[in-house]
Amino acid sequence: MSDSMNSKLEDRRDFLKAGGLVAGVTLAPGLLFYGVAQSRAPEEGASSRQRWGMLIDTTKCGDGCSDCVTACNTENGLSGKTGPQDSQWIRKVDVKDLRTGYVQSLPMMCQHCDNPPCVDVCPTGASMKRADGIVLVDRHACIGCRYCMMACPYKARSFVHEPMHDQKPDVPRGKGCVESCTFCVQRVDKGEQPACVEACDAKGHKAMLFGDLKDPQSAIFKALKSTDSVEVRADLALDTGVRYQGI
Amino acid sequence: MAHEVCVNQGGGRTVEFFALLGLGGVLILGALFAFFTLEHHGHVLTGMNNQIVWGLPHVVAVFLIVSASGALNVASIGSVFGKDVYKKRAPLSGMLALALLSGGLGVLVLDLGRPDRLIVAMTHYNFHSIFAWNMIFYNGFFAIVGLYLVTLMERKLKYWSRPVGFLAFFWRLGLTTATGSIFGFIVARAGYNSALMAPMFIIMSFAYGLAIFMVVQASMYSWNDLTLDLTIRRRMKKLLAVFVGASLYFTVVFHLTNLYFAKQWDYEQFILLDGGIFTVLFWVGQVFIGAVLPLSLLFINRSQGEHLVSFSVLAPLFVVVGGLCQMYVTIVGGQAYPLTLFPGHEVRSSFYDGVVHAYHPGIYEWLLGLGGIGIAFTLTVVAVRVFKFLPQDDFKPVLMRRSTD
Amino acid sequence: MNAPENLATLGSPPEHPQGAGRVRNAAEAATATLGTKKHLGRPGVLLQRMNGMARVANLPDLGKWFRIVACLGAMAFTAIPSMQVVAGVDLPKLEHGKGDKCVDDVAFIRRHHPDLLKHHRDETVRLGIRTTKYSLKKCVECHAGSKTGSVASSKEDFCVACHRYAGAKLDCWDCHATKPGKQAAVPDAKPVLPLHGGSK
Ligand code: SF4
Ligand code: SF4
Repeated sequence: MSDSMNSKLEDRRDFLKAGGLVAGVTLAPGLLFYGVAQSRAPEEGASSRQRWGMLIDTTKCGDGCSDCVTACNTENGLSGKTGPQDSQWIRKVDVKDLRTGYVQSLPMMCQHCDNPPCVDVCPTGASMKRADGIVLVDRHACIGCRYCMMACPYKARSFVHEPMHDQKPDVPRGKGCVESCTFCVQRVDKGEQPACVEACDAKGHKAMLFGDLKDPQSAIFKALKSTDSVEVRADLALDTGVRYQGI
Repeated sequence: MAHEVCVNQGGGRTVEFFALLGLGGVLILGALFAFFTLEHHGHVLTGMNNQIVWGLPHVVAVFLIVSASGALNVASIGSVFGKDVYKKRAPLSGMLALALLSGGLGVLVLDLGRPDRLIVAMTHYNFHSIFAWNMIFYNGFFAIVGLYLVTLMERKLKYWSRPVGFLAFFWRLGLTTATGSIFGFIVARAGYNSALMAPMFIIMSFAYGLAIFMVVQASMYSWNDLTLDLTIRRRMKKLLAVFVGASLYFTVVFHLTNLYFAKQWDYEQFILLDGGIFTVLFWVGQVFIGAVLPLSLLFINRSQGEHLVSFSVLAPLFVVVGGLCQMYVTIVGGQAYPLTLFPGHEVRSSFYDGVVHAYHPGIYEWLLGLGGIGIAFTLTVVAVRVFKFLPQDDFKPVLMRRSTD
Repeated sequence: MNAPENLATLGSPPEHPQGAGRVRNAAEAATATLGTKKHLGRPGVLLQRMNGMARVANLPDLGKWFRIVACLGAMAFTAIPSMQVVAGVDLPKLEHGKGDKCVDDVAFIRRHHPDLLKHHRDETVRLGIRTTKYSLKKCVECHAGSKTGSVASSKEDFCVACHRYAGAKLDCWDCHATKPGKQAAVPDAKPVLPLHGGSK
């Protein structure tokens, strides 16, 4: 039964892909590019032709502003508490240059590495990278060993220490599993931007740029091509999806 | 075969036996209590948090696992290098290895966030993960050592004990390497990212395993009102001294490479100078109690005759205590020291970036940790009672002088 | 059109073979467990033979008691899930979901929903396929109870009622929302039909 179901799905997906291709040919490329993310049919899974990424301009990031954090908490149903056992998917980090005393503020979250150590070490394969580069925890397979938290160089992951209730329907979270920033995968799959990016834009800072790193037409592709940007802990060669400029 | 395999050792001491069993049982019950409580309320009740993600249970678990492979060392020397004294001790050594490994794995499992998904862990392997490799190594260890025990205890299979012993020897080397690599593979953390981690764990496992073996062996002898032959005791003491010395040497080399090659000055300064509890545990626990003190005890030439405490028990006990301290410094200390996000910069955030993390183990962590020791202890007590694990040296109990060394 | 087809099949288990396979299994488990009592002799013999190897021979009494306790324990353990059925607990009364009909044939859903949900969850989480037909979120949207607004807050709520009856433990709600999201929370103002199980 599931075989036939699958093949039906496959057919449908192929058909949609073909449709998308035709549309792409008939319309001018500029017309296709209306949002940051093109919405795709729900039947169509994440594709490796895309890679989601983010460029953060620390010079634009407001000192003392934490709208991205608030937006993330609201979108994903986090409590917003900052105790040692509370989850924080995104945080504002103040970085002070020890020689000059210059202080910068920037948001830090899962960097959606292309060679993610968390995925490498996870014994069950619960930590995984989707075809489009978004790194997620499949809670159905996570045994809560916390090895991924040990391995992540960015301290991006949190362990859920307490039983949860009243979760967001789109963002399941529960006691005993590890979690981290998902790039708001539930929004991205609908063709929307991550909540933090939206909040930053709304505030007028526009410090966060989200998009497809593989699409030459995308704003982030162009921005990365024309500005100098760095990975945090570039020495680890993880090829992060989140890059920073201005540090 | 009946009397070959099992002797009711220390026949009359049933009360004492059940007392020991009760003690182990209480420890295990404590761990189960902690497990069900945490399963229900979550890890909020522990001192572990998003900064110190592995705490006291992991310290005990890794210690037990590492000693398990070390405990098998006695058997390996027997079958791989054909030393008769050690051959006689091979069954006890194999059994201890299994008991210790069970204890260690037990704690690891009881501390999982979702222990109910263990079946997932057993059926879904991510072969990139050294952790998954560890699970394979552990399972294989059970199988191979179990097989090894069978070949040792069944006359007809005696012939096989040597090849299986070889297999067990190499398997255990792999197992300890893999355990050490759990930490070595964590590239991001200053305290762990060293190729020396795995070999250091191997040499430490030799010391811890032999130490536990010596304590258990001495207890068994005194339980049966026997005294272990002086020459054998001296031999094992010498071996322990070699292992402890080598561990100390590796510790020194590890920190020196960190200082001079890996340039982990800040981390080294933290552990060696101003890390508070970790510095104390390192110098007092790991270096003094775990190495200097036992080494001096092992090298002291005591006068013949009876002494209150035998140094061949005291020294290994110190080694065990030092070993636990070493694990604490390695595992918890390695996490307490903050990750370096931006070298040359100072960082601050609501997520405790850039600060040394505090860890206060709670009652549940203690219960879990002690429970692991309880599992190993109970298994040993039962196995020693039911099977004939007392090393069958050619001892003549009546003739043997009570002499401690 | 709202014919009680939805759950009428949840009659007394043996008469309605398609009524929740789980229920049937539980009942079978109960009889099977009772059955072992009669054959206590057989595992006994087996244990005795094993005893020859294990050599707990020093304590012959311990062996016997151990055997009995172990058997009783095993029986109790296997019997736990079927308690509800054995105790003759009333069959669950389930509210009718929103809308005219389920996304698929009800009998099919009833039997296969665990597999369907599992298949769907893997596709969604791992591949990013976000169809809605077999999505848990959609189940919740239609089946949230009128009183609690949830599928798993009270004993009467849709998922809990049936799973309690069948004695199948659920861990979906450790992580997943049991209530529809805000936008979907506005009820359809459909009449809520209480459905009665076979006990009536
Ligand atoms: S930042 Fe951390 S959690 Fe995110 S992909 Fe990289 S290693 Fe994994
Ligand atoms: S905590 Fe979960 S996601 Fe992380 S390594 Fe363990 S099983 Fe994988």
